[in-house]
Amino acid sequence: MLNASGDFREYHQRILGSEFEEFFQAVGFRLRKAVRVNTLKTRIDFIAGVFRENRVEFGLVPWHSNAFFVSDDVTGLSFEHQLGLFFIQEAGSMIPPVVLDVKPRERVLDLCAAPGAKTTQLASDLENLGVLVANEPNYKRIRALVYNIQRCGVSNCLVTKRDGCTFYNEGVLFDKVLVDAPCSGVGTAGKNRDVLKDWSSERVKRFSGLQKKLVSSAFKSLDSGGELVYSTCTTSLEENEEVIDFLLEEFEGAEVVKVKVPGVIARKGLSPGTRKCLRIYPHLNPTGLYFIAKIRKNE
Amino acid sequence: MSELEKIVKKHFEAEVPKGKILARKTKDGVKYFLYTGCENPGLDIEWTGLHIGTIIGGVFQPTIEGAQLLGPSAGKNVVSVSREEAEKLMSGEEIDVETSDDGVVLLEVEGLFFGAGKSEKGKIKQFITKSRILKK
Repeated sequence: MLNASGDFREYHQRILGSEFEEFFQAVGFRLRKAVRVNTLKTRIDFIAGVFRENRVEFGLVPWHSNAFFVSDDVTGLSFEHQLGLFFIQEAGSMIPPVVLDVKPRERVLDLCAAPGAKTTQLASDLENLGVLVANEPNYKRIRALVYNIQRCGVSNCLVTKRDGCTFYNEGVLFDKVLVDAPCSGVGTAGKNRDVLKDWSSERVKRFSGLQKKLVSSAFKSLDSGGELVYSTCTTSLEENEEVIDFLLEEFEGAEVVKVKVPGVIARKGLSPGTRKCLRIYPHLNPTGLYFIAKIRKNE
Repeated sequence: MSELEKIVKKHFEAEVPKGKILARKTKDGVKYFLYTGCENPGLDIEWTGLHIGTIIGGVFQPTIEGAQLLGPSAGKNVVSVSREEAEKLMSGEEIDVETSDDGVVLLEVEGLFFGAGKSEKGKIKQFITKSRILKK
């Protein structure tokens, strides 16, 4: 039985209305397992063949052309996984890089990169060309990031150890930036039962302050005409809409871009400035919980 | 031709993959990295590119990724094994082989390169870091 604080219930009943109970049931479930085929090393038909041979049940992820939902018997201990032929990654976590839509030869920054699922996805999209800067301020988490970069055969990546909030001081500009921000993590309730119990508006506000600094730093690191994707795996307005509204107020050239993801049922952002952003809920999709915003930097 | 290119050509008859090759001296030998990205715009870096192998005592020991990149162009010192043998090697175990000269060999199973190892007196043991060992 999922246990949530009174604050959590009250707050979420307010933003979800009649959908709250359905949402609350879904958010505590363990997420369906998925893998992303690492196209830097292999092809989707090869991995499909391996799964067939091993009688693994699998089906396509609608929003990623090289990903499968799989049965639970696929583990990180398998031969093909250790060779870096695929990455075990929650299907919803593939959406932010899909929305960022990087092209080979672009200059890309992943501001909060560890442990590297989205970083290695971006590297596949870049086809190991251009440059991918993967930033992570925590040394222990850098080790996990480097392990995944190496395992996936990523050769165009530079790993940096900076505070993401001040990364713009490096004075380097990018075509695309991903900010998958640290957050209160309501979407992780399926594996961390305490998240909802410990939820409080104070905690949410602390994250919101950090997220505003991160998104500002990311925006300042964008070249003119560049785009950034801001994502979290949580629900609060303070960590999502308020962060984007803050960015729009602070920077004249910031514009929210409309996004649509195939196969995803999404709700709109909850403030007038964020109607083009996506709220992806687990009771409407076979995924976790995500907020996704795409921002363009105009001249 | 760089030292790495010479060794790779002579020992495996293979081509070093295209891109910038960076060498870093460590206590374990000289580590080689492949970098295919744009010029570093001046960032202070913790890690660059892909570790493709290490020269220890004049002998090049490819990593799993190094073997995957060199393998398709290699003309010699490639050993093909069964799936069962490949899993044993990836688990850190030795296997017996009949037809391999002593020295470093690239390892291949059903067209898939999965690393390199040392062949000696009819046995092969894979070079594999702890984090990549296949646990049963």
